[in-house]
Amino acid sequence: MKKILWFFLALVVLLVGCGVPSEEVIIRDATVAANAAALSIESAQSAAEALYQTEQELVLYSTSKQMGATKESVRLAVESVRRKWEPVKELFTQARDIHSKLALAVNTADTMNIGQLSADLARVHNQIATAMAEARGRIVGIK
Amino acid sequence: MNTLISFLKVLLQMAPHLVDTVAAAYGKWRQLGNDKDGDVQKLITNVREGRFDEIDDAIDDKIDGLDLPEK
Repeated sequence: MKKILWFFLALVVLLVGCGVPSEEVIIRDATVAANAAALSIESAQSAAEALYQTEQELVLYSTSKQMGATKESVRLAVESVRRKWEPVKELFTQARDIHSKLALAVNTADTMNIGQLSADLARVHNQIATAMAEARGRIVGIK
Repeated sequence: MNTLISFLKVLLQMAPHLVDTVAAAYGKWRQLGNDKDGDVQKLITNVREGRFDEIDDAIDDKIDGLDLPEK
């Protein structure tokens, strides 16, 4: 009886011992992936800020040089640029929220949700890339 | 560590063919634990917020400073 008990104890410890590295590997890889995503989003956000400012300044300049330009007409033109950027800003907000949830999932070793949140983050990241490409196209077209 | 040695002793007596597997698993576990101290393992918990509002304020200031009539 005592031998069976020892064997069972050894088996439990062995299983736990083998299980820990497997979860550790998942968490380690998820940490690296979440960090890479965070840095990538911040980098895209810096580029978006530069484009956002550039588009507004170009519109400000071109509108202010038009005949009969007023501060109000310049403001209206700049506001139209800001409205175009609202969906992009919303995407960055979504990306931050998803990343925050992903970080929480990694911190709590919630391996069930890590995959889904990583996929959600990748989807929003792609949408950001598309929106940025559209913004670049608009800016090039400003005269 | 003493617990581990005791465990390995028991395992050696009862299931000697599993000793290498357990030792390898323990080594891997320790290695992963040590890797946690690396920079790449430090989880970024917050992506910084955008500066879009600051940019808006700066543009508004520029518009206010234009040499144009208000309306």
